[in-house]
Amino acid sequence: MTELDRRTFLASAAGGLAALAVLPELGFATPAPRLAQPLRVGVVGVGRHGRALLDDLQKLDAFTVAAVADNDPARLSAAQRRLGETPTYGTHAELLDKTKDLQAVIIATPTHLHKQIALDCLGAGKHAFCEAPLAHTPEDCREIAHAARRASTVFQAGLYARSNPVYKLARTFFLSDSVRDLVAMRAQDYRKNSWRVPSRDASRDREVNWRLDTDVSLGLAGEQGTHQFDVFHFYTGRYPSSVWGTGSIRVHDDGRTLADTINCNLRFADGAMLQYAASLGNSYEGRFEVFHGSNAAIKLAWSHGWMFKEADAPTQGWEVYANRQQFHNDEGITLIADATKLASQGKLKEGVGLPYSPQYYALTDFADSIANGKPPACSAEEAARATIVGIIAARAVAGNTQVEISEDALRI
Amino acid sequence: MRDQTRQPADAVRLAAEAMRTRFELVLWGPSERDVRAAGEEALAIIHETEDRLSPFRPGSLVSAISRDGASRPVRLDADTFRLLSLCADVAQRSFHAFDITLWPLMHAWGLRGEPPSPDAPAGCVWGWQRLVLDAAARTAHTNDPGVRLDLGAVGKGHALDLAARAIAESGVVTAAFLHAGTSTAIAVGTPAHPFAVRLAAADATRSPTVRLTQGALSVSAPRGGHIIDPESGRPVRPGLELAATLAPGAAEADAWSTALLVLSSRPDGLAGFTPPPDLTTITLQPRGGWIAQGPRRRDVSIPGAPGSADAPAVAFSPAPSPTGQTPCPSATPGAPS
Repeated sequence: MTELDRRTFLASAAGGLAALAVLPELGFATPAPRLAQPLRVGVVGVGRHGRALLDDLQKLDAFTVAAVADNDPARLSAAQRRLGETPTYGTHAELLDKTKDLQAVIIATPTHLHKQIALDCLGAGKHAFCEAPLAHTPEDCREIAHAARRASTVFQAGLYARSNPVYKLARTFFLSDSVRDLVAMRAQDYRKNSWRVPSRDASRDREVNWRLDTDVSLGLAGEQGTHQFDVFHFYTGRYPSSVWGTGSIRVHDDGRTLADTINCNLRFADGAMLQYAASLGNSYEGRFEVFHGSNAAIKLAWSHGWMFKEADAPTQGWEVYANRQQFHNDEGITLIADATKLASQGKLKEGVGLPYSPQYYALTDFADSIANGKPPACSAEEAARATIVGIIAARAVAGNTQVEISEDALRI
Repeated sequence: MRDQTRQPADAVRLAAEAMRTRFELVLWGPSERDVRAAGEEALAIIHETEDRLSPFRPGSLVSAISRDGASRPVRLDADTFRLLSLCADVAQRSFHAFDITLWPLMHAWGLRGEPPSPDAPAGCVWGWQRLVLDAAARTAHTNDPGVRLDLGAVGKGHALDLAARAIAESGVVTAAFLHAGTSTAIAVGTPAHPFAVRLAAADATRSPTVRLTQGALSVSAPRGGHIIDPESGRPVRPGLELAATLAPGAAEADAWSTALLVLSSRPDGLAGFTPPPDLTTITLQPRGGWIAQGPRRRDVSIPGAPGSADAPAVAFSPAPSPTGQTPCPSATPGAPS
C-alpha cells in the first residue's frame, strides 16, 4: 500500500472496517503432556480422516499406535504398509480382544458405526476419542453420552473448535465484549469434492460411500454443519430453537439423492440467526464462521482468525502494539506475540496460522485428560447436543422445511 | 440426471495447488464418477504429503527433523522413511551430487531471495551424512542442530508416487497421467497408446519427445545458470542445459535429474558416472545436442536422430526453479497419442 493509499484507507476507515488478524503466537502449540510411557492407542477406521489422525498421533510422543482396525481390506492394507509391524484387524472387536494392553481407542469410522464401537471400548475400560458427529440418531447420541457418564475412563469427542488454539484465543475476545451485542452469525463450508470414494468392489460401493447413503448419512448439515454449529454453541453457550433448511443437487448429478448444496437458517430463542451454507460444488472462501457484533466481527477460518472492528468501536490497549498486515484489500492489524519480529523475518507474508492441524490439539487435550485428569475438551454430552442439532438440521434440509428444536430434544 | 457411470467421452481432469506448484491429473476409466473419486483421493494424498514434507509448515515431519532431530529421534511413517532412504542412496551413488540438507547454503548464497553472505559457505551446516536413519525404529535424527532439511527437489515426485499408487490401487482407473508443475510426471495403468511428452527447449523444433507408458519423467534445469554443488558447498555452472531422467518412480527421477546437473559441473562431467540400471538419462548439451542413454532410450525420439520415430509433441519444458535445482517448467500434459 502506498503512502497515499494508506492515508486514503485511514481517512475512509471512519465509515469502514479495520481488520485485525487473530493469529497464534509463535510457540502456539499446546504443550503435549510428558508421560513416562506413551499411551498405547488403537485406531478404528483408517479412511481419509483416520489417516490424518495417524499422522498426528505419530507426531505426539504421548501416543504410540499399537493396533488399527478397519472393515475395508484396501484401507487396512494401506495402513499396514504405512505402519509396518503394527497389527491390523478387520473389526474393532478383534482389536479389543487381541490387544489387551491398549489404553485408548480413536474412533474414526463412519458416523453410524460409532455407537457400538464407543460402547464396546468404554465397556472394555479403554479411554475413547470419538469423531463427531457423535452418531446418526439422537438415541445413539444419548446412549453414547450415558455410557461415557458411567465410565471411569476419559471420553472425548472430536469437535475440534474446542481444542483449536485460534478458536480459543478468539473466544476470549468474544467473551471480553470486543464484539459487544451479537447481531448475526454466519458460516459456510464450500469445498469442491464429490464426497465419493472409489471402490474396486461394486458390492461394497454403498458401504464405502456411506456419506451418500440417505439411510445413514447426515449429509452436509450433519457431517460438516455439526462441527460449525458447535463453534456457536461453544462461544455463546446457547443452542438454536429451530432450524429451516433446503438443499439440492447442483453439480454432482451422478445418481445420488443427497443434496450437494444446502442452506440453513438456525434461529436462537432471543431472535439471533445463524445462516449456514455448504456445497460440494464450489470452493470459494472455503470454510469459515463469523460473529457479527455491534463493535466488531470475528471471522474464524480453521487455522486463522480475524477481528474486524467497527469504526466507532472503542480502542483497546493491545491495538497499539499490534502488528499491521495487509489483509485482502485492507491493512489489518495482526494480533500475535512477536508479530514485529515475525514481520521482519517475512513470515507474516507467508501466512501465520496454526502450526499443527486442529486434530493435533484435540489429541493433545485427550492425552492431557488421561494423564492429568483434566476434563475433556469436548465431553460426550456437549457432542451429543451439537450432533442432535446437526441431525435436526439434516432433517430440515431433507424435508425442505422448518423443524423446531425443543429443550427436551437436547436433554441428554 | 446425467448417467456418470457411463464411459466418459473425455478424460477426467483434476488439479490442485500444493507444494507451491500446480498438480494436474488426467484420468481415464469406464465410469466417470468413479474415476473422479479416485482422482480426488489422489489429490487428498498429495495434500497430506505436503503436510508431511513442507519445510514451511512447523507441524511437518521435515520441520520436526530440522527443529528437534538433533535432540531426539523423530518417528516417521514408512513412506517418508523410504523417501529419506532414497535420498541418502542417491547422495551416495552420485558422489554427493545430491543432498537434501542444502537449505542453509541456499540462503547463504542468496538463492532464496536474500542478499548473499560474504562468508558463504562458512558457518553453514550441511551434508547428507548428518541425517541418521534408523530402519529398525523407523526414525530420523541429525547429528548437528544446524541441519535443515529441504525436500523440494524430491517432494513433488514423492507426492506423485503416492498419488499414482492410490490411483493404481483404486481399481477404477485404466490409465492416468499425473504431473507437478510439468517438471515431474508419472504414468499409471495401461493407456491405449503411450503418453507423448515433449521436452521443450529454446529450439522447439529440435526438442525430443518421450513416450511415457509406465514410470516417471523428471526434468531439471539450473536457475540463473548456477546450482549448488553439495560437495564444495559453492555455486557452480552445470555442464548441461537440461537434464531429464526416466525412472520407475517420480521421486527417484527427480533426485537423479538434479544430481546429473551437479555432476555435469565437475571436471570429469558425467564421464565417470555409471547410472543405476533402471535409469534413462536425456541431456541437452551446451551446444544444443541431445543425448539419450539407458534402458528406455528407445522411448525418446530426437528430431533428426537416426531411428527416431515421429510422435505428436506435447510441451514439457524446464524453467528456473526457486531452489536452483528443482525445475518448474511450464507445459501441458499429454494425452495418449
